[in-house]
Amino acid sequence: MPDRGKLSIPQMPKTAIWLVIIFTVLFILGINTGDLEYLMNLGNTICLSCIGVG
Amino acid sequence: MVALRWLIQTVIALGTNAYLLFPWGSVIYQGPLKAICHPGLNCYSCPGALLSCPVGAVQNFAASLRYYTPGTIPHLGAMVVGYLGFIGTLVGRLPCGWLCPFGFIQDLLNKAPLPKFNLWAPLKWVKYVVLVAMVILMPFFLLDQYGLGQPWFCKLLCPAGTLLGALPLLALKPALWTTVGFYFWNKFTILVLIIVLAMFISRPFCRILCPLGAFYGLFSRITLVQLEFIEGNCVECRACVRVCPTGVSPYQQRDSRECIMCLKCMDACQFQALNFGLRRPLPAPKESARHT
Repeated sequence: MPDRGKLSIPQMPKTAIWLVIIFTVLFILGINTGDLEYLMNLGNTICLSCIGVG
Repeated sequence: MVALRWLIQTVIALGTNAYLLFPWGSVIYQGPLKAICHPGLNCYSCPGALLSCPVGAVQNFAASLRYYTPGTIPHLGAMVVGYLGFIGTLVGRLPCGWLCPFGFIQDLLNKAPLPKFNLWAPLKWVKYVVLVAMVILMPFFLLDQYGLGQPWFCKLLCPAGTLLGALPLLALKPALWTTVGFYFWNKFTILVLIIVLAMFISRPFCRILCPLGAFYGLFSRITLVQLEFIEGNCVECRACVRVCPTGVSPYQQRDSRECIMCLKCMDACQFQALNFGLRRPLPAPKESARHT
């Protein structure tokens, strides 16, 4: 029977490293699908929701 | 460490809100830096803001998915999710303690010489509801009277948007007063409540309502850096508990989702029982211990 403590706890930094890789890939994917331009257009207009218009 | 944190908080709050041409040019900055998100909560409609707000960005991406046209590339917000997830995995809620301008404002308010109170602990779960409901689900599913998805967190709740975005813009463009209504006064009331609360309770918005803190907190047990507790040095004097701005007991709650890594506890500890550094895997249990 596998020892849970021995197998799981030392793997925690590995999980973090895998997540860093996954999020980096997501970030690059977002840049390549035009998220950068979308975000810039968004930030360049006054956010009426933030002001509370309506 | 305390002085260093105050310095970094001041530099980041002023440095990321350093657009000073708003009285003469455009009322908000419209340059290329707006393609980058702030790691903390900082309204992108603040006249001085140089960066975008990550929470506002996620909501707008979620709202835009409804209008996806087949044959085009959907804007899933992968860049922002990747960016926030990357930060969360590396340092967890450290940006809340060191980089967030609205957190800094609450820290300043809490300096007021007034009696201090503890927060009722179950309220900490509200921020996860805010994250899922107001930042992810509502912008996609809930439409306004014109049939459009909205950034409902910004519209209904965000006090940082009211303080740093709405009030300065209303001062700069008085004509906007004719357009504000229920949503503004609702948010204004929330802002006043948060300001008053922050004088009596440390960081009430971060602990109860902040969806960004909730998201970063999800990574608390796997971050690459950690606040390490050295059990052998601890005498349980509770000095760390007394200074913690988010009500954590560092010697009892390891890797707490509430910890903003401000490191006040490390400063307060006279016995070197707390250390900040790269996360080290816990040693495997000894052979003899495993067989007993």
